[in-house]
Amino acid sequence: MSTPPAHLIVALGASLSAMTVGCNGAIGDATPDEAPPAGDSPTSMLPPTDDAPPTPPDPLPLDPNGLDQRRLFECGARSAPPRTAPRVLRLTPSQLAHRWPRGSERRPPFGSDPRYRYSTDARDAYVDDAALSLLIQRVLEIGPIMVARRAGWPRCLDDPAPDLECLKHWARGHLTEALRRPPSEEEAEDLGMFALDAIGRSGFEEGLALAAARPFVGSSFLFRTELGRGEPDADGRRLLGPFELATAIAYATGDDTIHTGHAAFWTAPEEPREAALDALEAAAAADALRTPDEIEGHVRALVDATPPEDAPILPANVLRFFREYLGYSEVSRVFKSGPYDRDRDYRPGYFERQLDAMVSQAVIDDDDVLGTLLTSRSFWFAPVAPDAERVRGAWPFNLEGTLPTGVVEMPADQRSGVLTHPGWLASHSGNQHVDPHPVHRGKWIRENMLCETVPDVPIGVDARLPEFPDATVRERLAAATSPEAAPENEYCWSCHRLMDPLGIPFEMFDHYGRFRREEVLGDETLTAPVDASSTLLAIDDPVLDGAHVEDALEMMALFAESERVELCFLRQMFRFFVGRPETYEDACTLARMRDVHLATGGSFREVLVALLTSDSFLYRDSEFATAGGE
Amino acid sequence: MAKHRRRTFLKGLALGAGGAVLGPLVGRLVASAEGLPAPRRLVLFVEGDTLHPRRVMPPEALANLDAVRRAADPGARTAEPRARFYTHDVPLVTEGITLNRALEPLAAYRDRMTIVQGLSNKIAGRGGGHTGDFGSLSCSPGAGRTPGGQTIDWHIAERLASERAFPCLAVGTKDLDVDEIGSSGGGRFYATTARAAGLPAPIYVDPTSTHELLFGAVAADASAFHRRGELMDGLREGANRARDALGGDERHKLEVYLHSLESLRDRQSKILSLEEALRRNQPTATDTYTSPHPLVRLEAQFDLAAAALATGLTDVILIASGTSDRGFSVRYTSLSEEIPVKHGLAHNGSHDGLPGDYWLTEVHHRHSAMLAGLIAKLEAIPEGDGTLADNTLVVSTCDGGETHHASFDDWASVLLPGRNIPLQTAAGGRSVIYPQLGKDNHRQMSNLFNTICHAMGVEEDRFGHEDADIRVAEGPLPELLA
Repeated sequence: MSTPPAHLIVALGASLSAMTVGCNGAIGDATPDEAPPAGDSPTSMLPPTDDAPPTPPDPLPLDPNGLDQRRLFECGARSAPPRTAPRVLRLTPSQLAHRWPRGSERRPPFGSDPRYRYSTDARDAYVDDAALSLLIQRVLEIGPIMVARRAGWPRCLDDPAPDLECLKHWARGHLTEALRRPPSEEEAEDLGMFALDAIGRSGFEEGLALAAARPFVGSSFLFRTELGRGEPDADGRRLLGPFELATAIAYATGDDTIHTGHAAFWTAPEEPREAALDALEAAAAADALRTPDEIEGHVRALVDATPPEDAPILPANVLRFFREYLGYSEVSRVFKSGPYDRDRDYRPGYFERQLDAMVSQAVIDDDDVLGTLLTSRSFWFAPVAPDAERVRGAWPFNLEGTLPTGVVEMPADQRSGVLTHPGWLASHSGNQHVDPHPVHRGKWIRENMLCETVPDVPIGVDARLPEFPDATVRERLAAATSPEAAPENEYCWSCHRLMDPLGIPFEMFDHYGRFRREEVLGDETLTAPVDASSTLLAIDDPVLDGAHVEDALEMMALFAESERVELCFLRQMFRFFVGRPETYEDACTLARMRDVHLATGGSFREVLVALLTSDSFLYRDSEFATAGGE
Repeated sequence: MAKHRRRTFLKGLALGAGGAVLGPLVGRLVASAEGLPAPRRLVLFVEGDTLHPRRVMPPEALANLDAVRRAADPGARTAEPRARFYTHDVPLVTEGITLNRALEPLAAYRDRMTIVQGLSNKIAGRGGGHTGDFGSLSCSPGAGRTPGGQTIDWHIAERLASERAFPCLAVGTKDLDVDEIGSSGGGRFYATTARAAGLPAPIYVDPTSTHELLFGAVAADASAFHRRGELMDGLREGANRARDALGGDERHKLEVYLHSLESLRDRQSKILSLEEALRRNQPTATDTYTSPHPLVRLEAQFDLAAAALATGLTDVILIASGTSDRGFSVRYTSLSEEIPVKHGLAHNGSHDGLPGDYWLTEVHHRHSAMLAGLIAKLEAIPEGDGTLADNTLVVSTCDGGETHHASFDDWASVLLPGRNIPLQTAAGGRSVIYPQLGKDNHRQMSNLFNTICHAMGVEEDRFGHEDADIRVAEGPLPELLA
């Protein structure tokens, strides 16, 4: 299949919560070719006004799935040296929560509202006036708490009329804790002066409380920078500064960073992560993060710092990658209904925890991780209490009795890998038994496992299946989209061929993710045998293109052999851990990841080390920024 | 001569030190003294999910629709309140209507009411199903949770060049965790309303937070409000330094931060200029603010919205009830403690032996009661030779088309204009049903938004960014404009 032209690549967000029907002849249909081009967003039409906040430069950037996958992995002597543009990244809600002083009941007012594929992609992470207003309210509450504790503050503050030198000394330490890096002299002086004024205006306790709170509404607290240091190299790049780099590495693996646990205000991470962060901080302070070799050990220590739990669990941000890559954290948000009268026993929250454990175990074992994820029948069941809940959690897995604990080998004719786990299946399906969502599942697989793009639903198309009470979903879908059912469906099929054949194999599961041989039809009085067979179409991969599969289990076996799937997985890793889409300039980084993946028999840890020690991660383009102050 | 001197005095007062105390009142007196019309206000209520056609279509309008269909085709099926039955060729106007259960509490305002049906908003749906989210009020396609265009509330506020402390204010209700309720400073989410493409605006969903936002300057402990200003002093310099080190798109993030600082300082000074009016109008926080029931908290938000208008804090208010897909999880526990979440009701899940449709009609009934209560409050506030309600347009609509899994081809709205708002009214109320999609005289929600713009004094015929291929007509709806 040829890659779609760039003008077809649009950021896809419209819900395909129902399936397409009636796409022929609907008034005002736009063909897929007429989908709005990326970068031609209405933003550019809006005149700037004095009152309006600055409009974002490009809210709908190109979808990297439009890039040629082969070219992305071609690294040669003439390849451009990888680098990333200098950045300012607003901290994520989890990172801010870890930096927020203990003792305050309320956290920083930033919720998760991802506008891009991954939460680490901070391109649109702003601080608008509403967020800042609420942040100020909350920050005012923490100042008095900090003054009351005074933990680690200099003795000169025992004097209720401290001089400027004392306050600058205090400011240096306070900013170091708040910003998790040594402040510049200018920053310390600013805060010291502010404290002096505030104490003069409002008295010692109140003035100092205001000064103590102030760093937590500043841009230096809310954002971290990645500008690079020193003079640019011959390729116009700068290596990240030691504290920029230490922070970037820490956040690649977890939500907390260096300078943790040094004061009474912050919660220290558990061992072994705390020791790894201490070593990282010492290396940053000694400027010993200059070469990939110096960096590598710290990355390994942080990746291996798995928290002590009663089930396998990865460091927070590593696990977050898999959650977001597979999209299974949505499972609790997808409402389910009938027909088994089991709704009250439906416990989607367990799915996430169990899939977390299954993924974590595969990564900890670190042997052909992607292949294991795609084909393993060893399902992990994290401990669940109380006993009544154990009964309720078992049935979506087709298990009799109670939910087990530990590893269970699932039947070979029912499950194969994470995409056959109820956690994924229930996340990527509809609300009812008549709507397990082969279109949605197929679209997700096309975009996330094959790194290809499906054009957005044309405006005017009525994307719902016909309601035939005595037909299977497969039959209803074919009636609406297959040219074999009706020649006028040719238009629909031009897009649906990219989705339906990849989603149909999952018809062996219902919308809860339960394995089934019989499908309950619309009126719930009839059933029909499940037909999950499919011929995969339009895939730029010799293993997959044209392959006939009987069900999802066979499809997953083929996916585990597919180069397209493997390279797409590496691209997804790049997007998450570097925090931006890949470009052709990253080809040498991606090629290196691929080489390591092959050489190590599919080690996730080694690929991640390769990525976090790559030039794409370590270097910043000098063109759009001056060097940082480190 | 005497009149001229009075006008000059009042203008001077408004601009001088006294203006800080008497700001909004004097502003209204100046407008009155100069013969200027009072500012128009917009209250836009948005029901999350759907305002189902059968819940709002009056029986007289349905009978009229049936008669027109049978006149054209004696064998036509009996009409139902669904777009497929809107086969007439010109907008069908019915005057003198009976209000259905969902709208009953608005009976006192029936003479000013127009129920509008048959408008499509396909661009918001993008394929159908669930909410149109930001697309509903912007008539532009977005991507996921990124708005594709400015929504009508912000568009009008911007075109009015509002100098209010809040050019546009959005409050509402949704499900909140127990520990979020009543948490001063918490409870906002981003959906439904957008300042511009790519820039969603917040909806304040916790009354405690809304109260502090609007009336914190005159709260019992107002010192926190005043410390906010001090805290912001000098923050610009650090952000400027960081911004100046950057080029390209990344500067934008810090520019938004700097803009936020400026707008907060500006808002702070505008709020302080309204101190007397704030004291006069601030509602007393009650335990409804911290109620576990979303509809009870929504009622508190209506009170706060009325107070904000009365104080002159804003002229444009959006009130959202469980909007966007994140509103699906709201549970109307004040109707019944064990009631399913809204999504379940929308799937017509029964509860207590009654179908979901029954419960959602009851929710609409309560929404209508809140709207009626808000209008009554505005009627009690003198303005010019009438009341604040005379200069206020209340609009009720939804963010999800005609049903839960919608085609977005029949988007119902209810217009309730005040006496000085130039929209048509009729004794006994009106219903206007537009012909179905495909008919020459079919019209779209963008036309209704143009109409609202005109009614608010904003000349706008091309609101929204609908694809030219699917735009049926530009301009407002003449059947509605006076």
